[in-house]
Amino acid sequence: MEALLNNLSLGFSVLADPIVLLYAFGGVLCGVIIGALPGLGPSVGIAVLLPLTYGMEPAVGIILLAGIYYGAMYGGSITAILINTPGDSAAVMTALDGYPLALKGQAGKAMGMAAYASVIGGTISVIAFMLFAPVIAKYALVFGSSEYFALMVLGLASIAGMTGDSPSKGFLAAFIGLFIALIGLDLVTGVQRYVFGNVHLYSGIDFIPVAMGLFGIAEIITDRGDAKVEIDNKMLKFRNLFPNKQEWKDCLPHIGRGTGLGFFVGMLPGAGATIASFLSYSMAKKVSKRGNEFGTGLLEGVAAPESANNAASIGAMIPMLTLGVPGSGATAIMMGALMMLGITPGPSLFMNEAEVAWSLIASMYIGNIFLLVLGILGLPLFVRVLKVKAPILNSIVLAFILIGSYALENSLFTVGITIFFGVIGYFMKKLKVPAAPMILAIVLGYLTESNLRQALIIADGSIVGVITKPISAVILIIALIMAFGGPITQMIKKKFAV
Amino acid sequence: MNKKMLRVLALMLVAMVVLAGCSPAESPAEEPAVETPAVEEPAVEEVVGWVPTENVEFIIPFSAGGGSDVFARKIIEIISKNEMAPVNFIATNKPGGSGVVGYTYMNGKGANDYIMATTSSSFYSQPITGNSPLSITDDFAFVAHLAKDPNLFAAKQDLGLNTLEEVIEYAKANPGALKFGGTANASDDTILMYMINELAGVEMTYVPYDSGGDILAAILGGHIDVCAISPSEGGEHLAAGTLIPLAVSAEERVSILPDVPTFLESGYDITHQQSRGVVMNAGTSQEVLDYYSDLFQQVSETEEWKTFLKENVMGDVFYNNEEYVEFNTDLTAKYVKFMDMIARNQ
Repeated sequence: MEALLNNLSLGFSVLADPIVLLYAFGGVLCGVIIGALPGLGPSVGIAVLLPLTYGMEPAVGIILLAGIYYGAMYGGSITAILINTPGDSAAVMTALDGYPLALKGQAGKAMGMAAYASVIGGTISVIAFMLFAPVIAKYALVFGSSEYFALMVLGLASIAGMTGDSPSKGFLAAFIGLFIALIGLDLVTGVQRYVFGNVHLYSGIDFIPVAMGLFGIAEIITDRGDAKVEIDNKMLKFRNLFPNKQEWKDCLPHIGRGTGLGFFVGMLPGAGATIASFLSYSMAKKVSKRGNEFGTGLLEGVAAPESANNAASIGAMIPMLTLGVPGSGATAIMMGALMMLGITPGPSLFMNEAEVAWSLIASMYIGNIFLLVLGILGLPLFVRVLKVKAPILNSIVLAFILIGSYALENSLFTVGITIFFGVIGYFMKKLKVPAAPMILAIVLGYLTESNLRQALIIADGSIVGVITKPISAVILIIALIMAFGGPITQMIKKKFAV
Repeated sequence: MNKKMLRVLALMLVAMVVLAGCSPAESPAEEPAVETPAVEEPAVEEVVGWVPTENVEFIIPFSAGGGSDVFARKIIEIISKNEMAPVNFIATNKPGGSGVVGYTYMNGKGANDYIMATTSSSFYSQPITGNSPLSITDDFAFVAHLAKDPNLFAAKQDLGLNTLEEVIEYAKANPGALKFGGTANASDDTILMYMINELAGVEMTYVPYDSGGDILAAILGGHIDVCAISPSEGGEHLAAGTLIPLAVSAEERVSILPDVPTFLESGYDITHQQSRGVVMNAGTSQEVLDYYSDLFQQVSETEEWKTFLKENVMGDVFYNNEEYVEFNTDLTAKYVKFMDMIARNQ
């Protein structure tokens, strides 16, 4: 314990320098802005701002990058709530309840809750990180392809929990999403699937342009006559940004669960913040008494995914720092940055580069405080975006989306994909087919398939070998209960009620 | 009041455009180093033949931050810093389809003296496996070859086997039991495994992963037994003994792993490395190719380049235009042979 405090004070001593603090603040600020821009998530933010760290002290460089990283995690929720365009994939679930809240005139409250949930999730995770990082890192590796496959099935099963009024429409969207995930070259045999000779489709359809189209463009072209975001100056008062007692009581358990789940999922290499927020939302919906009201604008629906994605972003640093195994795109780029600064992440990082490692941990505490300050003080400013007249706001958002989609691959093809899915999204909205299951299926479809194929090769082609591994079996059973538990209990109830 | 908001938003839009413009994906190197083309003063150096008069578009068929990207940007940096050329080289990332998107983009510009692209293993594997509309021999002109990436064959710790010999003996005794992790389904990693299978008379099973990071996680967790990984990716795990290095696929030992033998030393005629060079479109005239070939030779002779190769564990292998054409013929034949073997096994 004493050693821990010594280490921590070593870390904070680096942060005592006001210039370093300024970098940390600047990182969080840049992160929030980048995260809020459609299509630009943490990985793009870090990649773009990476050159700034050239020539910096390693400790300072990594503090700046870490600030961008969790700033962007929060920033994604701002546009998700205000204009139903998630800034990045991890904020997709935040839009589900955040936007309806904004429509009800509670945008300020939703964004306040997003900030609190993010900060609570982040801070608890930092403490867990500090205490357990080296130990957990080893256990995370127990997850191999079979276990990931089971985890992805669990994710897909959670679609049942987010389909709203009409499960069949939700599943329809999910199956279209799974189909889209099939497009591209087969991972194992390299066979072309549904590419029709178009070289742009060889590596498949990325879900970011799809999400920007389905959520962003569809929102813009849908007639919003019936869905006007009301804005009332009163709600911008500081007091109103703070959830009241009852709301805290409703949300805290979800924040707690979301944090635990997010931290755990984030720690697994390859799972990450997006999947963490998906799972957390559907878990919240399952366990909440008001489960069927999710999607209509509940603060819990914002709290659960937001706490999970920030917790996951901290959790994802564990395998990267302690094992040199990056768990997500963003942490992979951070690892590259660290190596460029002359630091090799790995088992001996905490011994050889104690100052860097501990000042990073210290900066996470401070960074979370900055995040809260920015989130709360900046809120009135962000919300004012809604006061802009719809035609002006729409055209600016559209410009952001199109530039963002071009910047993904420097290619007009992704812009075309974005617009195409914008049109699809319009019809889905009109037909009341939910878009979230489709995005989830695109993300999970590829991962489910590639992990299953790898697991099958490792198990010499035996599916029994894949699903009977202890961890995967347990996860698969949970998935089965999630998918079919509801209907079956209803059936039993019906039978015995009469 | 609305006006004010409008101004704020417009400002954000401008910031966004600037941001996109500054992204490493697009950023042109620097201000023009020399503004007037050197053609105007040919007296100083003995300028013979062709000299570029327009900026060169340097295509990186992969995203920013990857191996090809770092390689290309270093070349450009050296050229511009040392004012080796009278024009600028502008790095353009065109990722997608394992490089195919970038090469087809270049191909669309026809014979053009101002566009070129970097090569890596997928330059060979995609056309050969039928996943590219282009032909290696008919659609490209070979400018210069600059580096080779060695591959490392490594085993997991709890396999309890410490040398190449022991692993091969084990593999002989247990056909199909060893699971070999590598990147993608028809890559240099795949070729390495099939070479070992063929030349050592063993049978290992290939498991394709998305990236080196995934392979590392799988082997450290004990889910696969052996793998191909870049010596730098293995990093600390090699030093810590959690990953056992068996042999490197280069002709000589690599500097960061002085104790790890080559396959050749261990008595197996296996060398296979990722080749990194620069290509242009077919139909580019010989004098243009000569100019760029000389230019890249100058780059390869700088101290900076040598340091860069060492840091990134790449082999210093320069071939000029003529040597590259010859080398390419051999390398293509090798890829054809092994891609065919891979396809038959799937």
